[in-house]
Amino acid sequence: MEFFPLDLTGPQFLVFYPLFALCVAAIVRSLRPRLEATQEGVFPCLNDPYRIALLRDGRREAVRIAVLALVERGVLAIKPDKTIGVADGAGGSLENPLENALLRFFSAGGGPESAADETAVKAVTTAMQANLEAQGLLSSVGGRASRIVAAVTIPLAIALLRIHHSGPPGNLAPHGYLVAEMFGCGLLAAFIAHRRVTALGRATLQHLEALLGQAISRAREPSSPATGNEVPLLAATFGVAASSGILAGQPEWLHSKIESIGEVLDFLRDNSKHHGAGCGAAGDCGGCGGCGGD
Amino acid sequence: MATDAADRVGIGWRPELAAGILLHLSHIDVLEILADSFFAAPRRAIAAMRALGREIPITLHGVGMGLASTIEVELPRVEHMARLADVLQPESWSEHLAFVRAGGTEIGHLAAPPRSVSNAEGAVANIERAARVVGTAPELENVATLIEPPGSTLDEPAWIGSIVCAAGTSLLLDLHNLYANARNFVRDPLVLLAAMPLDHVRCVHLSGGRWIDAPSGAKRLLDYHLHNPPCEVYVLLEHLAAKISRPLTVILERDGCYPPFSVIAAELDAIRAALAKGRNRRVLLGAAA
Repeated sequence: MEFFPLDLTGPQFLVFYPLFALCVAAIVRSLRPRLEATQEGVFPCLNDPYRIALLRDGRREAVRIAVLALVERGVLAIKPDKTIGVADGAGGSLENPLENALLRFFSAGGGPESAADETAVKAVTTAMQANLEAQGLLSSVGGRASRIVAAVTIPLAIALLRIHHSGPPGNLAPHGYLVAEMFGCGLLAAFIAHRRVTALGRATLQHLEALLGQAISRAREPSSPATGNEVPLLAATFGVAASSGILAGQPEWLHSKIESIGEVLDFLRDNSKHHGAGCGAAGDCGGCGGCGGD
Repeated sequence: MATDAADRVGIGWRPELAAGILLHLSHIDVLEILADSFFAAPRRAIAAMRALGREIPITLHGVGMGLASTIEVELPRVEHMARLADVLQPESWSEHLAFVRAGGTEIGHLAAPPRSVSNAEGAVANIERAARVVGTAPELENVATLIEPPGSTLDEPAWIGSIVCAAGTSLLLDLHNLYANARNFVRDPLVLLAAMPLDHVRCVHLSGGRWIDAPSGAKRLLDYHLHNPPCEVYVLLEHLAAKISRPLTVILERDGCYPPFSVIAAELDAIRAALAKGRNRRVLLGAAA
């Protein structure tokens, strides 16, 4: 006996349709890493904490890590009233474009909650995002759109064919349940097929976590203060929220340093809770629906 | 700082230094991975290291084979190294000319074996066995010792020379080990350096140590890897770079008391400076000749 979906009865088709839509979305999603497999294992040189944060969790996280770095270096300071300002004696311009944009923003009295939406900051993060897309770490808008279109269009076409097959064209009234299913499945398929970070991007983040997270606790002695960018790199890789969880394996000086900036981390964590973890209202970290969850 | 175009300066990968190393990759020419710490590592950690190896040349360094012994090297250990080398595709791999176990007892130390003809023959047999399994012969590192190995009939340079020549492999010259042995047994480090089979040196290790009291009351220099290399070791490196024309890969080793990476970066610069001085001296000597 041959099976032809358009010949199914109404209730049967209503059961078949969401299963079919899910299968299409899953196939589109699973095909993607295979198409990207040629790049699997390559590790683009990602030693820039801000690009790592942008890749992992979007524009706002990149801004948070940059603020953390600037506070840690004494360029910015958290004021008693829980605002951020330029530290006494700091000023001039900074070499890193994101840091420089943030310095100018906070010099002008901007509040931390709107830093990521400031025009110059946005321009810098947009350029960084384009760079990540060019490296194949983030999906381009076109790539995401094509996957979503594929995942949504095929079930949609089948549903329209079924409607066409069973009734007069243009009259959707008898097919209310199916139309509702079409919308629901379309949204679900778009959600499943959407991925902001590419397979290469995910592999890169996993590699970074593995390289930075395998610290072994050994006998350590306090040492002189740090001058590097290690704290922002760790925070960018594991997230500001997880920074305290990675203390155990770090050298004593780095351990002390992370502890000493605990107040800043708390502030940035609070800021993150109040203002979203990466996508925010503007939703321009590379597309909503996937920020931070990919 | 410019050195000879082919000389390279790197550092031993340690998890505690990971953040600093990643942030300074552009200043590091090569990474040396402690192979034994990856033998039982999760697949994810090995994949990450393999990915890092595509960004920067890596070498594998073993500590547990105990090649310098008349006892046959344990095959599973060599197979571990072979598997890891197969996955990570390092430029080369190295092991110590040390014995680490006997009669089923692990001594937990890279001990200097008796420097004798029979031991050298045993070492060569072990190296050939390891080379057959891994696919290439290891570079061989000289070890530091606090006592003159009992039963020795050869001096250290002759013993090492006989092994690297017979095995047809390279010497990984640890200059701090050489310096420690010279100081511990009242020899001139530069004379000891000159006596080594320098034509076989391709890679150099630099590290630091500390002075300890021997039971006899004498002082002994312990190769400890928790301190910056002393100035004398840089002088040895400069002499080595002046003596040989072959490009050198110099690895800075540190196993604890990790300072901020700025301190380590300064050490890497000092290595480059010593190499450059040695190479310049070689050019001047060549011109004078």
